[in-house]
Amino acid sequence: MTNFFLFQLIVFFISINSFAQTKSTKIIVDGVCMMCEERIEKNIIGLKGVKLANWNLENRILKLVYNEKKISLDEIHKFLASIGHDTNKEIASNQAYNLLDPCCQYRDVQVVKDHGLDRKPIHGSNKKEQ
Amino acid sequence: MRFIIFIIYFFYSTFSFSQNIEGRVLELVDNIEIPIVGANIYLIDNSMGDVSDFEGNFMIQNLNNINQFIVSHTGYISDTLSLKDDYDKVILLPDNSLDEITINTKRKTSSVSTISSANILNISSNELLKAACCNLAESFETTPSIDVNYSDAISGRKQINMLGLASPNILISIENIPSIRGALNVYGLTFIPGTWIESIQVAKGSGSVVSGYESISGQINAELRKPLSDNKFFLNSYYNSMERFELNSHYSTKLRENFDYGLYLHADKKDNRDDRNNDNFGDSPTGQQINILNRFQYTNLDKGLVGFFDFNYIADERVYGEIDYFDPAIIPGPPINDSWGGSADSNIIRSTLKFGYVNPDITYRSLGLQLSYSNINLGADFGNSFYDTRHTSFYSNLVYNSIIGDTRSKIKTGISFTHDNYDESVNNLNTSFFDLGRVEKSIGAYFEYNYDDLDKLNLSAGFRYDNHNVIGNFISPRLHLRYQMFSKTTIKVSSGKSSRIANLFSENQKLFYSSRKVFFGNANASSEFNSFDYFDMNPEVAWNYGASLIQSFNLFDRNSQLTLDYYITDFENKVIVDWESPSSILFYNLIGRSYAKSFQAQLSYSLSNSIDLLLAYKNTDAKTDYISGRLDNPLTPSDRFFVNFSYVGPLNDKLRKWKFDITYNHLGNQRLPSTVNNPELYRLDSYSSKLDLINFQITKVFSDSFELYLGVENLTNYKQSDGIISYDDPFSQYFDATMIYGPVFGRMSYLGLRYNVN
Repeated sequence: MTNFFLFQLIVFFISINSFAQTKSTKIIVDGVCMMCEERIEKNIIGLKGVKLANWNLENRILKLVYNEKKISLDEIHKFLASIGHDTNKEIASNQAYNLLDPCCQYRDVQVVKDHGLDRKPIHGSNKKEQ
Repeated sequence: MRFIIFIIYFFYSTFSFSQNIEGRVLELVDNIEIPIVGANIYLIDNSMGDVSDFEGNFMIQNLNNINQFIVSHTGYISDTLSLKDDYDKVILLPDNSLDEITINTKRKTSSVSTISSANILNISSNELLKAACCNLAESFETTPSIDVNYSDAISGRKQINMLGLASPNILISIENIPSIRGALNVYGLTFIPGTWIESIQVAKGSGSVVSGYESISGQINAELRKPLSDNKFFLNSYYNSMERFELNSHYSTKLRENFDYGLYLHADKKDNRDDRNNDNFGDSPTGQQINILNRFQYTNLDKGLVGFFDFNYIADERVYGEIDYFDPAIIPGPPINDSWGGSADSNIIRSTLKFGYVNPDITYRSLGLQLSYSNINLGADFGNSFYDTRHTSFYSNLVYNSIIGDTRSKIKTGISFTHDNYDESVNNLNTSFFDLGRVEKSIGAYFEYNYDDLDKLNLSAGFRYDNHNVIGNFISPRLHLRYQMFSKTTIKVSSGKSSRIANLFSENQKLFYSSRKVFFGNANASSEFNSFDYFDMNPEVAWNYGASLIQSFNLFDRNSQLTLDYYITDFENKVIVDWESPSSILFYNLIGRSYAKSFQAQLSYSLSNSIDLLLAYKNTDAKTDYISGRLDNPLTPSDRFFVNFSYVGPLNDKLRKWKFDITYNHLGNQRLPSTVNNPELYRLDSYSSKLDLINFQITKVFSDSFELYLGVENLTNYKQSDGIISYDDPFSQYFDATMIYGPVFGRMSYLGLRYNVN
């Protein structure tokens, strides 16, 4: 019984988000494949202040845990755009986008289809007109 | 399990000629609304459609006044909706069958992870179906890393070896709680029915510090079926040509919100005595087992809480020996048994409580508590000997997971406590008696650091410090490293130190199937053997080093994987079990060296989408310094060659009507303990002959819920003829049924069925 009490006590302590600087959020980042996943996760986790980055290919949601004092959410959005990935707030420049591997060209409807995905790019206006 | 629902709000505005359907697709994740991008919304006649934008908004022009439309999104079941009201809310359910639709590459039924730093082989429940395994020990028949052997010619029990060392050197856990230990060390695996197992993880080399200090040659973890994810009902029945009948049944139900319950039953029975090798001894024991497991599962993902409460009860009775032996307990009257035999009764109670908390926002932070209690009662007699043991054990482990900086650096830390109470009494041939009451308790703290650069390198370094009432204070360092040299080439190295206390009688129970007399002694002075006793035997300490190379490549457009690994286990101390003089068994502490070097090469190759081939070669060099000099460890084949060929009906065939599986095993010569001092009639060769064994199984799938299987073990009908020395006079000093290197009875066929309700 003491064990259980101890357990409850510790649960209480880990529930406190270490003095409220650690934020947890979810944003949308466009991408189509495992290579995109690797690029997004590896680059984001390398940013100072980011503690967890987990992108889901199916729903394009990037789960983030970060330290507000070290990095802002806007900076994360801008960073993602700078490596070629559109987010629900930022659109990547064509220059950054074109640097992506051909298989990662998520704005190209055909590429999306080839990956067996039935969806449109987040920023439809940006896709190539053919 | 995903907990995501879609909410669609839609309004339609009436214009003079047409209607516009407008709406918004939202997803609810932990009560936060997130717009869903890229959901498809189209009218039922397919005339018009739209895809939701990054705010989740969509609009469809409805020229034909269609009042039904379809919403679909990858990973969710499409739904057809009707326009009825101005406002509606729609929930789409996650499509759980998605894996079967979109994944065209097969997942292997057993696979070595190239991502984890430890050399872990994962065996899925599909692999377990390849052999109609009755219990956990037999489930390794199709796994070349592990050898499955009969322990003796009488008990019919099987035991396993890994890296050239017997199962007491392996830390065997059930859902990460060390379970097959103490009094259950050797035969405990046979008390876990095969159908209860969801998956098995086999880690070669020293394991993680989280599970304890005991894993000398490796770690095996079995995950059991869980009430939340299991089928509603499952029934398996099995019957073999030795007239053994088995029944396994699972039932699971939701008790209430977040609470699931599962009932798992196993029963087996064998009544007839058969003697197909004409040695006047039953080929396997008669008797029955009933095994009941209750599982309560609590899952609350919103709060990040999970829990399990298990209660397991096992009652097992076996009668073995000469075919005209009758258990005096069954046939009342004066014990005028002039036949050799005996019976073994096992009663086991095991209960575990596990609780886990994951911070729902910060998922890398979690806490787990494991509590386990077990009471094991074994009572057995063997001719003029008997062995009774009662082992009561309590185990607790508190683990905390977190990160340093970001999720590339993870830490695990915690404390664990173990209390074992043994009450053992042994009557060895009515000439020596041992009363071995003892308590072993330990408390330890551990810390494990894991670094993953998400690319090439993965490192895991662990350290634990334990205080044990017999061993004293000691440390167990462990290191695992993975490095991906090239995109398809991965190397792994590991090293670690482990300690444990041998349970000499429990681990060497097969000695009772012989007329061997027990002695404890000193390797230097064999003449003073009786001045030592059980408690003079020191704890075992060993270092394990290993390296492996995993190379993936494409051969004729098919994936294949070549794995080479080499492990060395080097004992600093070991209690030597010396079978080298007939009529006696000597226990003494190691002076000199005892080691096991194991090399394995394994090639897995997919010949087509439905045919898989697994080839393996294994070489074991295990030697020990005995009083009589350095010798190969007995009954350990130096070479083993393994081929498994499996066919599963084509993937696009919905029912996969047929499955076919054949396994070939070649075992090289095994050294037999010396019998030169026996009369010539009772001598064996110094090495066993080579063995070739073939097993096969055919499964016919009739529907998603019903299948039949038929198999044959030992197809070539191999029989070890000299399994029992002096079988004609079992009360003589030469009687010995422990020298088993192959099957003692011939071919065995079986038939079974599986039925499940989802």
